[in-house]
Amino acid sequence: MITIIYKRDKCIGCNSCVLVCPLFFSMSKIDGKSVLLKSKLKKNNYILKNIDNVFTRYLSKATKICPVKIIKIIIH
Amino acid sequence: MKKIELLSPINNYESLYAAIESGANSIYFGVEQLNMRAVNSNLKIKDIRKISNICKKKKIKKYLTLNTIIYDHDILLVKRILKTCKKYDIDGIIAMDNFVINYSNKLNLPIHISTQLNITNIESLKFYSKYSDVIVLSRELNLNQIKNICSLIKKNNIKGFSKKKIKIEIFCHGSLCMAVSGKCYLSLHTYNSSANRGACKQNCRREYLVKDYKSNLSYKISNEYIMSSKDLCTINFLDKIIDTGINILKIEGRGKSPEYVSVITKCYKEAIESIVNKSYTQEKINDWIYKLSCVYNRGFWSGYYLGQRIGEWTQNSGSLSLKKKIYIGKVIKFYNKIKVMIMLIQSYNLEIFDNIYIIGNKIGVKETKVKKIINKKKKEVSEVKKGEICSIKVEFKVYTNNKIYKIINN
Repeated sequence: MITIIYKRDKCIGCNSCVLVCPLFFSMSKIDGKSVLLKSKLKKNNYILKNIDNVFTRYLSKATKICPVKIIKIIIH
Repeated sequence: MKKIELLSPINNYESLYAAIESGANSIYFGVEQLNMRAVNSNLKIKDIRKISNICKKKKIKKYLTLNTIIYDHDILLVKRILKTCKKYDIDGIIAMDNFVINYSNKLNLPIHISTQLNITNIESLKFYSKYSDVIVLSRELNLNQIKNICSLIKKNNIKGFSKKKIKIEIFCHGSLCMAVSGKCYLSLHTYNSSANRGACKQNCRREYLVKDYKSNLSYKISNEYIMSSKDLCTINFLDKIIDTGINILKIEGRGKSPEYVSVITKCYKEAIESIVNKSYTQEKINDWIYKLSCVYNRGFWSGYYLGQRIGEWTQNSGSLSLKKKIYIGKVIKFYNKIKVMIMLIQSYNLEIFDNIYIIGNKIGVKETKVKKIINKKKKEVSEVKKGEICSIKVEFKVYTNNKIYKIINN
């Protein structure tokens, strides 16, 4: 299983994660930052748990492309 | 002689107070992610009101920079920022995107055309004058070209959006870009980190090798950081700059520290005043250059203003500043009547005759020399170490939790 940790306050709204991972990320039109879909806010981090391991490669594209390196994935 | 406006960069409240105390006539700042220092931007929309109120009290102008590339998903945020600026009387928006310019016009917010738009001739200036009140000229122009543009504005009586004569702003100090005023894609291509969205990774500031694949030999490029331009410094020919007819002198450095803002603003303010009252001497220039080189710099050159051949590259990575600051502790109490502050040393030590900076909210940056240290047992000592509490006398007001730094030679 995979957990995604996303430090949203540092997002610069470049849209890169949405381009490579549209299943998990989408741009907010309210504040121009990316949103980790269905995630929960915990101590300034947005967290999405229990993602199937088949998404490992798909999600690692987002962690690599993010210019400010605020998307982390943990594989359990 | 007409009044020259000195415009200082701020990125937090410390540098705001530093700019005000040092004599800036105006300040500029960015909020949220839509400015060219998005990565180290500390200010949010809610800070617009607070900054505006502080500036109003201190009677200085305040401008907001909103000069990144704007995408569709940014539109609502841009509108929200601009409406907030209108509500709290921000004096101008530094912009490059046509939507930002257009929407500010609708709200009747004055526009400064950002250097990102590279205005290099009178005809494009005329075009943008319909939408703006201040034009920041391209940093790549020389003084003759600037003078020519300024005299043509006068001759043709070119007016801005608010029907007042259009003003010219140029950079007088700070980092320069190896690309034409920020239009660079090195960072984007190598790290997907766009300089034009305020996330420049500064590839240009590094040292590179040239590799010959056939022989597998690498060559160091003449010991120079061939893409890293030295910093712009104009204090030694500021009279010529003012003589061109410009209205606003802008200091670069929203990514820099409060003491940088303080020192640079103070020196340029003094220089402008000396030029006005005709006491601009070589001796003063030498003194200012020494002071300027004590804070962050990559070595100085005159930029493109004197029409020199392109490129003066720095010889080092990072700063060449003569002095640096190290954190030693914080203020824990201040007795205003006797002007004595109690401080806690949290790292290194404090010695007698040390020069220190006290940096913080409300005071900006203050520099002082420690003449007497009293320790916890009320004895006069020559040194206090980490973990100890001591009291020293200062000439100005400080506040609890202001940070104390020791200034040492670099």
